[in-house]
Formats: sequence, structure tokens, C-alpha cells
Amino acid sequence: MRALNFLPCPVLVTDLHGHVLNANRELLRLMGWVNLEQVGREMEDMLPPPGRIFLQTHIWPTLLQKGEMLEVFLQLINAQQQRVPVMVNCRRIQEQGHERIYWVFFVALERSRFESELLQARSDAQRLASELAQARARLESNLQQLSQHTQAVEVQNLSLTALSQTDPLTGLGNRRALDMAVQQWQTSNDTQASASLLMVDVDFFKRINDTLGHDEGDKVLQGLAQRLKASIRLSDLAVRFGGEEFVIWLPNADRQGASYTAERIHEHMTSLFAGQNAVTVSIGVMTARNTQPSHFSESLLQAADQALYKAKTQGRNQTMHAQENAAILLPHPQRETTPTADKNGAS
Amino acid sequence: MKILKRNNVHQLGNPDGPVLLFAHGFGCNQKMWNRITPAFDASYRQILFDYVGSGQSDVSAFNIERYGNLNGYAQDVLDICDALDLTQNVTFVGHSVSASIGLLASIARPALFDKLVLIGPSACFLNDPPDYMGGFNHEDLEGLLSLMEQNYVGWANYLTPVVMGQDSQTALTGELSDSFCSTDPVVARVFAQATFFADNRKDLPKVTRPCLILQHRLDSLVPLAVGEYLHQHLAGSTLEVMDAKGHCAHMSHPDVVVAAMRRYLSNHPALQPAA
Repeated sequence: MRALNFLPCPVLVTDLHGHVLNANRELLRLMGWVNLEQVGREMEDMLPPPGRIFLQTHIWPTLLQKGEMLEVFLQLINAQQQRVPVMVNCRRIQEQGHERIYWVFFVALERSRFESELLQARSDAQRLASELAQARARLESNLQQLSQHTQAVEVQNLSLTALSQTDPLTGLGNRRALDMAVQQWQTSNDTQASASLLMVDVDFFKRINDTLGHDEGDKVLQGLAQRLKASIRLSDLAVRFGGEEFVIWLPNADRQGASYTAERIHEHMTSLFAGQNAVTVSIGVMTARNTQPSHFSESLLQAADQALYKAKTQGRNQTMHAQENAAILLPHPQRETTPTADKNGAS
Repeated sequence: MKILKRNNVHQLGNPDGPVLLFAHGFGCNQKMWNRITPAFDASYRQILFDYVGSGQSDVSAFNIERYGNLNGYAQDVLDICDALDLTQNVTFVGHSVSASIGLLASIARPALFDKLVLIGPSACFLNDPPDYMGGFNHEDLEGLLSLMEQNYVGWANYLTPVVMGQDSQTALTGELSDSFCSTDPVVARVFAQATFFADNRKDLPKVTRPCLILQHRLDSLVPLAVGEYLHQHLAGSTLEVMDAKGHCAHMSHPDVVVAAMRRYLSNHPALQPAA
């Protein structure tokens, strides 16, 4: 036993139940004890309560099962009631027919300090990460709200735009829609591109209104709007320009293309009646290259309007091109129901 | 089959004998019973298991919410009985926290159990002065958690990534190492919290099965008064104070435990399992 005193670390010997049998000088010094008689009779008296629980739930079961346990971290309580962090190795040994447990301690002040700092740093990092995650979740939620809001505003804008460019009676676009479409075409095409504009006017519309009433007049306008839509390409635009006057915008259509569209309109009109009478339209056409940066739509409209006037004066139910003196299309085969000219109803 | 693998269930002894179901305590695994089971091998069907998270259980089945409460462990006991088609006459033998777990299981399914043997049981480790002294105050138990952290965590754990957000469950994968005591820091902490902060005093009157309380005479974890408290509040219980020091008499004083169990079992003979 005296040999234990030469070892440069604290050593304790107990029986299988933790009853203290021996301790070396280093252990006495570590614990602040003068002699062995001062040693607590039980090993667990050297430990604060958390260490006692750990001893009972981990160290004793392992010692009894495996015979040894290495590198256990514990705290001892010395005579001055100071807690001393130690690393412990313990092993079960047969000694002269008796079961003994040898406990070897290594004071671990530095390790203990590093470890608590590391644990603290880790727990700080964990807390920070958690706060970051929460902040991020809040930001994401705000962002989502913002993008929902933006989307709602965009939808509102779209519907306001649609409303502001729509004629309520016919569902066609209005003048503003026409201006937008022409401008857009102008800016996205070079000066070689050409476009056509048709001005369509219902023949004798005033007479329809006067004889059959405004409701019937409105129905005629709606019927005409449907036929105009049926006559044009997807890229074209039909708008109600005002009263019984409609405009068809035909981007990238030359005179021939415009003529085809006008012809289709006349054909579709054969199925529209006001009372017993077939409804016809007169059409003025203007085709131009994209050479005029400003007042392009005004000049198109003006020229088409003049051509329309010519179509009216030459007998209605026909199409005139602005650059022609005569109708570019033969008037549609005259129908028996074509109204005769009337001063009051002339239009 | 899944449950038997999940809880690493092993069966020993006489398959036709009455059933002894052994439940290990906090920190250990089913191997802690290997000094008790030989004594009952001839006449009993003995069932051993590891709680999920302990021993060689399937640690991927560990769930912090379920196992943060002793009822989650009691459910392991019931799951195992169901998986083995046991419906009655089970004698439950539980150490330490498993005593409480067994009591909870017997409250949930009284017909399943014939009686319970409780080794070193405690209704509550915390002091609740003046009427109840479990042995520890809150600070002691927090100290245990940090001591465990310092012992299990190992250096590798300092290097594991910090988890984003508080609710993220640490993924538990792989196998627990074969060491006798628990080594996974997350599992150990959850089990320790469930064990040492549990207060099962209100559950005691709900227990209807007879119990044998085996109290250690000198147990730094469970004062003598706690055994007496349990005896008073468990109707039909028998209290036996073993001449043993420590908290694991079934390991340190197996002869004492075997003798006490034999006496109790012969006075309360179990029925053979229904054919």
C-alpha cells in the first residue's frame, strides 16, 4: 500500500460498495485531509449530489458489469467545500481474495474551464441560430405578405386597365385601347412595316334607332361587334370608336390583307337584321408604313374617315381605300332588303 | 416483429412458464438483469428488452416528444406485450425509473399485469417539502444534466452543426455504441429529464395491481422514507428493505434480490399463461 504514495496522482481504494479502504498522500492533499481517518467513510461522500446520481446510475452499474470505467468527468468536494473537477479511471481488482475498486484521479481544472467555455459558446451559438431562424421566418412571412399584396395590386391594375379600355355595351376595346395598340406596334416595328386601319360605320343607323327604338339599336351594335370580332385575326383589334362607328386595327396588314378583312366583314353582315331589314356597313380603309413617329393613328384615322365618307357617298354597303378613287371592293351583291336612301336616316 | 426488433426483445427460460418482464432503469440496458435471470430460468418465461434509445434498440425510432415523458416508455412496455400476444398474468420487474414506468403501464392496462416487482422505486426524485422529500432539489438535477453532458458529449459533439431553430429534432441515426451505459447525448438527456423531473405521486392511488417494493437500506438516490411513502400509497403493496447499499441491488446484491423475489412470487403465485 505504501507504494501508492509514490504515485504522482491521487488514488483511492474502496470495496465493491464504495466503502473507503485506503487513499494515497496525493488524494489526501487534493481533498485537503490531514490523514486517512479524516476521509469520508463512503466514496460518494466525496461527491456533490449530481455526482452521486451519476455514480449510482452510470459508474457503479458499469463497474459491476464491465469491471472498469475510464475517463469519467466528475467534481469532488474538498475539505474547504471547493469543487475540484477531475477525470477518473476506476477498475475492479481481485486483491488477496478481496474485491477492490481502484480509483485514479487527474485534476482537470483547465479541461473543465475549456469545456464549460465550449459548452457556453455552443449554447450561445445555438441560441443565436435559433434567433436567426425566427427572424428569418418573420422576414419570409413579411415577404410573402408583400408579394401577395403586390400581386393583388397587379391584378387590380390589370382589371382597371381592362375596364378603362373597354366599351361597356359591346365589350370591344375603346379609343384608348386603340391608341395603346397602335403605339405599341409603332415602337416595336421598324419603318418598313406597314399596318392598316378600317373605319366601319353602320348604314342608316339613325333610322334603325328612330323606327325600332334604342334597344334594337343597341342590339345591332352588339351584333355588329360580334361579327367584327369574327372577321379579324387574333393579332387585330376591333374597337368601338363612338356611336355607330367602329375601327379595326390591322397590324402588319397591307392593302390586300385589309381588303380581305373588309370583305369578311361585309359577308358576316349578311346575317345581321334590324327588324325585317338587313343591316349593312360602309368601310373606309387606310394602309401606311410606320414612317410617322407622331400622330400616326390620327393620320390613319383621318384618311380612313375620308375613305369612309367616299364609301357612303358612293352608295354605302361598300369599302373604299383612301388611296383609291373607286371602291376597292365591289359592293356586296345588292340585296333586296337594302334600305333606300333617306335624308333623315342617312349616315 | 418490428416492435421486437425496435426494443431488442430477448426471451429466456421456460416458454410455457409464467411471464417475468424485466425493465431496465435509466442509463443502462437489459444486460443489467443477467445476475437475476439465471435463478428463474427453469420455471419462468423471461422477457428482456431495451427502451427505445437505450442498449441495442433501434435509435431511429426515438422521438423527443414521445420519450420526453414516462408514458412514452410505458407505451414501449405495452407495445412489447402486444407484439408477444400477452394479454394477462405478466409479472413486471422494473428497476428505478422503470418501477414508475411499470406502474403507469399497469394503470393503462390493469388486466395485462398480475403483479409488479419494483427495485429501488421513487415516486419523485425532487423534494417537495414539507410532506415529501425525494432526495434532491432542482439545482442538483440540473447539475446532473450538465455532468452527463460533459461525460457523454465527447469532443465530437462540440463539432456537430448547431441546429437551426429550437424545434428541430436532432436526427438520431446509426446504432448506439455497445457500451453498457447510455452514450447518445440527446437520448440520455431526454431520458434523464423524463426520469428525474417526473412526479408520479398522483398516479399511485390509481394502481390496482399488487406490488413488491424492494428498497435499498442505504441508497443515496432513494431515501428510506420514499419507499415508505410508496408503501403507504400503493394499495396492496409489500415493502421489503434489502440489506444493500447503493441503487442497483440486482447487480451488487443479486442473491438478496433473487431471494426476495422468490418469497414474493411463491406467496403470490402467478397463473400459467392462458393456453
